[in-house]
Parts: sequence; structure tokens; C-alpha cells
Amino acid sequence: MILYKTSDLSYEIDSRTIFSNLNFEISSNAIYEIRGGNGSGKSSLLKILSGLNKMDDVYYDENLESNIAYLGHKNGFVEEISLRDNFNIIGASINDSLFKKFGLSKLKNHKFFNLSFGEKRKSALVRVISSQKNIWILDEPFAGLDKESIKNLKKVFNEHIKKGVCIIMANHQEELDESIKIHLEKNV
Amino acid sequence: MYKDLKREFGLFLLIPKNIYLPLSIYGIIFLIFIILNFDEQLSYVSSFIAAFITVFIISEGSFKDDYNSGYLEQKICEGESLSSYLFAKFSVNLILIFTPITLLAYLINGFGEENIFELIISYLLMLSTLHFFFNLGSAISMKRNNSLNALLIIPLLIPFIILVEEIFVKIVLEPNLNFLMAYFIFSATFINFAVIQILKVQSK
Repeated sequence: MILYKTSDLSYEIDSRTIFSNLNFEISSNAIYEIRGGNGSGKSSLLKILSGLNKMDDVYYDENLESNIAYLGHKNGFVEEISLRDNFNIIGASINDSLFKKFGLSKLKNHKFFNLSFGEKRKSALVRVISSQKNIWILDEPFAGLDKESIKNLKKVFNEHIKKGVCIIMANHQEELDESIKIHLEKNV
Repeated sequence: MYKDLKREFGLFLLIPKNIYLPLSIYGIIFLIFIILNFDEQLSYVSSFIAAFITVFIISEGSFKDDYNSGYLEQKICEGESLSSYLFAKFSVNLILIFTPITLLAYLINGFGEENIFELIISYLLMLSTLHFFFNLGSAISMKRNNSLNALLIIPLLIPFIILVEEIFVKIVLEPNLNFLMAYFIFSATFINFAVIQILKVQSK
């Protein structure tokens, strides 16, 4: 099932061309990796796909809107309250096995500002993974994660792909073997 | 809707500063006016100025925390309703901030007026309208972290200030209360619609 289709998609910010003439299709049951250097427009493309910045050159499937779980550069949690309270107030389920898998079980009652960068990122990823949504749009999901967590996250991705989830991510770290790549070149 | 209400009430109850800070600001400003010993007629003016400054201060950060944490961006990208988000913010402020402020104002001023019920309703309408207008300023200044932008919307409030003066100082309820209600409806619909559009643009 085709979720997105672009036809000569171009994007400018303040009359600076970020990318131009992009053509690709995104379907369910796959991992899409958007790759490119700094400033090549990876995050901008994710915002276009998430619908935050809708473009006429993109076909969006009509059932997308309520099916997206999004994680940008920021985690979306409140710093002054605990990890458990952060999950509770947004009505997100606390999945004990996921918390354990990512080493967060003992941190549930800690204030969010006391967690490390990687722990905060893993908490935000756990929210997305347990969201029951079918399209995950993730901006640099591996940033700040240790080797063990990256390995676990890749495993979770592969498990969910089999369940029909589509994962679209911006990544400039190590390539994933099983992903479909969308390369962005920096326009100078 | 329930999800947004749960979050906003949760944030107020889990971070008590969200409740006691506005009430303290209001109380302190009001106390300063009492110490300055204004005459009785001006006590309503004092309470208006205290309420005006309090709502301005609390509204200034209405969206900033959610923008900085990335919650707002996440919410828009996941296709969640911003109307219910704004309604939840208003509800929690109405119940936990504006109602106590109103009671505090009438506790200090005394409950001697004949039209006390209408005056309490007017006071709540006044606070709610101020909240919506200052939310507009807050949405405009959200990204650039410049609260001076919020001051730009104060000229929009000049007719509103005249209305409030008629109601609380001269105690002329008809037709001013009707106009105040119209102002409230305008701010609850059109201003909120503008705020939603601005939040979407600012989050891009």
C-alpha cells in the first residue's frame, strides 16, 4: 500500500534551495532511511511527510493523519516531572518489557531532567514504539544511544515491520542493512 | 479532549508552581495597592490592574514550554486537535487560577454589592478574555522568545478596558455585560482560531 508519493519535490527556505526534484514512493511494511549531510534537508523532509508542512508535490494517503507517531529532535516530555508521570499525563501505556529492554525500569520515578541525553531519547522512543500507530517518523533515532540500545532498537524495528509498521527515519549514522535509502544531496 | 484535559490538569497538579505562582503574583500586586491606601472606589481598579498583570505573566509562557520540549511539534505532526489543547489550557486556568483569583478579589473588596453574582461572572469573563488575547501574544512571541511582542496586542484591549471600567467602577451592568460577553465570544472563537494557525506556522 502506497503511503506517500512525491513528484519532483523541491523545497526552499528563505530562497535557499534545500533539495530539488525528489521522486520516491513510500509503502507500508518497510524501513525508509533518509540520508544526507548536515543541512541537506532530512528534518525538513520528515516534517513534509508528517504533514506539519504539507506540500502539493506529495501524495498523502488519506488514512495517514491519525496513524503517525512522530519523534523530532526534541523528546516532547516535561523536564520537571518523573518519567512515569510523563507517560501517565499523556495517556501513554507503560510497557514494562520495553522499559526493561532499554534499561529504563529503574528510572521510572526519576525526574526527567535527571536522566542522561541517551536515557531521555530512549524514553521518547519507547513512547513511539508503544503508541500502536502504524507510521513512525523518527529524526535521528540512534543519536545519543549506546551500542546495546542501538542493537535493541534495530531488533524492535524489524519486529514491528513484520506487524505492518512503516518506519521513516533521518539517519546519518551507520546504515541499516534492511532499509530502503533516500539520498539527499546538499545544494550549495 | 480527555487526553488534553488529563495532561493540563496533571501538569498543574504535579508542578504546584503553576498554581501558586499566579496566585502569589496577584496577591502581592493587590497587597501593594492596599498598602498604597487607594480609596474604596479605586480598589476595583487595583484588582483589575493586578489581574491584568497576572494574566499577562502567566499567559506569556502558555506555549513556550510545549514548544521548547517539542510537544507542540509532536502534537501537530501526529494530527491531534489544537482546539482541544487550547480548551484544556483554558479549562485548567479557569478552574485553578481564575476562580480563586475572583474569590480573592471579592474577599478583599467585600461582598457588599447588590449584583454580586453578575459581578463575579463579569470578573471571570474579564479574566478569560484577557487570557485569550494574551495567548495570541504568547503564540506570536513563542519562537523568538520575545515577550515584548505580546504587548503588541494591548491596543486591541482598549475597548475592553473601557467596558471593564464601566462594569467594575461605575457598576453599570446594562448593556456593558452584554458587550463583555460579545468580547469573550469573539476572543474564544476568532482569537483562538488565529492562535491555532499561528502555532502551526511557528512549529514548521
